[in-house]
Amino acid sequence: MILAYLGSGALLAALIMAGFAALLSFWAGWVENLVMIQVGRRAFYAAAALVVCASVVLEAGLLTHDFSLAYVANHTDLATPMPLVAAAFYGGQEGSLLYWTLVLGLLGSASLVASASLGPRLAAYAAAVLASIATFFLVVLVLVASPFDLLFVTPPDGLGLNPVLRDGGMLIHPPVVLAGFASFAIPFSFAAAALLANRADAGWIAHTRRYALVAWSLQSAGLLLGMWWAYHVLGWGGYWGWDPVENVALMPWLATTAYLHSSQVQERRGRLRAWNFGLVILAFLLVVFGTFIVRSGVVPSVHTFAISAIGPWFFAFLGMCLVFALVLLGLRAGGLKSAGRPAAAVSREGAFVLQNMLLIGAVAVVLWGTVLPLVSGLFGQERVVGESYYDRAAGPLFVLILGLMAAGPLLPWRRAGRTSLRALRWPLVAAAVMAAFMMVAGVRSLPALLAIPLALAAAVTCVVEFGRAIAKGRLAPIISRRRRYGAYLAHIGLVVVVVGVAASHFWQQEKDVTLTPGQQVSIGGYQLTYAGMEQRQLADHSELVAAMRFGDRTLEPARATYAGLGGQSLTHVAISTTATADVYVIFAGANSDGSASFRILVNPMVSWIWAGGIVIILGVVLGNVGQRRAAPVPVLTPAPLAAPS
Amino acid sequence: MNVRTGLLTGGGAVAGTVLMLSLGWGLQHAAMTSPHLLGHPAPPLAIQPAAGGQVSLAQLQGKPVVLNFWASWCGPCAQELPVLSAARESNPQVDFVGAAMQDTSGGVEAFEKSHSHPYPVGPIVGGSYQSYGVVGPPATVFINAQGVVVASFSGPLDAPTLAHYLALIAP
Repeated sequence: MILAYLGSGALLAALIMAGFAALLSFWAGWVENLVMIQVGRRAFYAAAALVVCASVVLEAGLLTHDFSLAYVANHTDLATPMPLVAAAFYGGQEGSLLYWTLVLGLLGSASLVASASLGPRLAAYAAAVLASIATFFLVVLVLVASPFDLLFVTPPDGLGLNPVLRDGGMLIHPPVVLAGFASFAIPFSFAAAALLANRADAGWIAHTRRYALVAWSLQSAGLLLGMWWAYHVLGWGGYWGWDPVENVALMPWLATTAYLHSSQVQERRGRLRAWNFGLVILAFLLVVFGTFIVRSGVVPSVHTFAISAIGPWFFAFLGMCLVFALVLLGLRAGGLKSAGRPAAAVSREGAFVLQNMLLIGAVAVVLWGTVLPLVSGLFGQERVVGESYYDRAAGPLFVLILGLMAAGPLLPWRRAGRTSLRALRWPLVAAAVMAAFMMVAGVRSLPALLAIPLALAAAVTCVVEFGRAIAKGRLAPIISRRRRYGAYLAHIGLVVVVVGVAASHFWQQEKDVTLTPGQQVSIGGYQLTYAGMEQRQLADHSELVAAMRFGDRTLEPARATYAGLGGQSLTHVAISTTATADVYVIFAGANSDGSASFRILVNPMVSWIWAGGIVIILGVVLGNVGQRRAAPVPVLTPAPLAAPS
Repeated sequence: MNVRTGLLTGGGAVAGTVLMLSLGWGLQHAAMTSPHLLGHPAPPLAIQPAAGGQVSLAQLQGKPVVLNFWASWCGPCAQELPVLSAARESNPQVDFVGAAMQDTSGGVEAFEKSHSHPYPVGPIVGGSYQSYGVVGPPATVFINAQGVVVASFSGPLDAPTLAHYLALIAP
């Protein structure tokens, strides 16, 4: 009981502080009152500290099994293992909103502490925008979705966590995804502040880029963990289903990928300034859109939270953000004239512009697929699109992006002369050899014949660049320009992911079988023998486990039944992973004659996706951690045509 | 503001308005679930009514079908039964099927004695509720005359929501 009052009190105080910080910072920025700017910023820190207090109180309620709190009773029970009880903090609607606000408060405070060099006015506006976003979340937490609501009667035990969430992955996937989503608010706040303050200089772009990179890295990790979760926990045999919840996480990532590249054009050539603002703002709008989609349950998804009263609130928030962004961009973008003339089409700048167009095209394709049920519903007949739509519409864009990954890094900034075009021979040769090899091996699928050779070409480009640097002066150039070489490492990681995705997409094999004990099945050159099944009783559920002998191992796919949750039943898949392929066994059900039904898949090279993901994150971290200030050389004067820069 | 900025802002405003109107429409209509099924043929499913024999979706092909997953122990299922029964009366061109899930045959029989369904109901004897992505009852799947899943809904149906989905399969 006391915890409920403490938590609600902390949230209410945080709301008042955040609202105060927003109003004061806007006013103080407007009149450039330095003292009040300082006060406004400290009010934001205070709001963040109060959100930390509320989070600690909720966590205490969970860990002490305080079932007087509706949130604790609805999402945990006495049988839930302690780490999962702690993770229930973000396992439900209300708690995950509090977690979102917590990340916003902490990252927002960190970004404000580091914003002193941007000048008081811009920092004040950034604090105001951050505090406004925090105010919205706190209003929802206080008025509509409080995690501190009390039950009239305290039950002896809770309902328990949704069985799908009772997995070790729960400890890492949701917090990273939610933190990724929340962190896009930071670059947005600084972009909006720069537009409000009418500033778009190098200091702004370096600061915004740093936080965009944080958001991008968190979102990359979140997407990969989501794919890992879908593959290992949801157990339908794949890792990506173009589900709206996946789409809404992918779109801000694509927009920020575009920004991380186009911001280099602004750094080096002073161009694309309005475009860069647009991308940062678009990424945040997509995050708010995604949050609305996931939490309101308006489109069909595997992943929506229970339908609740917060849908209209997020709808209104999205509307306000859209109007704010459009008005701000409409009023200020005209004044953001680019400094230099556009470079030739075949140049690094040209490659970045084309890559940006393709990425935004991909965002448009994914957005259309996501909202189609609603747009078509508005005009009469509801329609949905399936995987083939995304394959056909987004696939060619992604193939072209791979081509640009192979060519772009070898092109100079201004104009590509003959020497730099000659540098393209290595990736071209690699792609041609790979394509020929695949043709000889009997591959006839055009998408596969394009994707894999181009991925190889992109990797060769990065290796050539590393080779050149090492030839020049061993590791010194790589360390001194580590942002650039970190990016190449991330490119190599992405290539590894693409190869894994392409192989598992084009060459997946699948078989539905019913087997009696002792019977064998063969798929993709693998032999499996069904040995029998047994019932096991565990702490919070029972499992019907089938034993499938595979070489000298036994795979144990199972069906778990949670008696305490109305008999909800869940599939536990069994996966045997190697570098070349995963053997993936789903136990579909037991039959009365003692036989059992299985779906067995052979998914080639899925482990490459996880390995490549780790390389991407490593590349970004090694390239940027400890880099005090990104200081690339501006290329505003004509560059020599010889070697690519 | 120059012409290009004006055009871009105007385009953004139009796209934003359509998006917001669509999302607003979405808020007015209940959410569907099981996206992997939508637009795809309904997975095979058969039930065994107490009267004997089997009713399978394959037999019903050619007519729109409302497939309701329910259980005798489930309160919201009893709550939506009058809505389904009324819709059954007013839509004779649509077949209704009640697939009991996570239930016992004794439970189903006892439920039928107290709240009889005006359409075939019984435990699932072919296929599974999992193949429809259903986690718990009640959940309702709307299948058109071609056997394709057009929409699905989890939770108890009310009359306007059911009418909305019925219009999708039996225009």
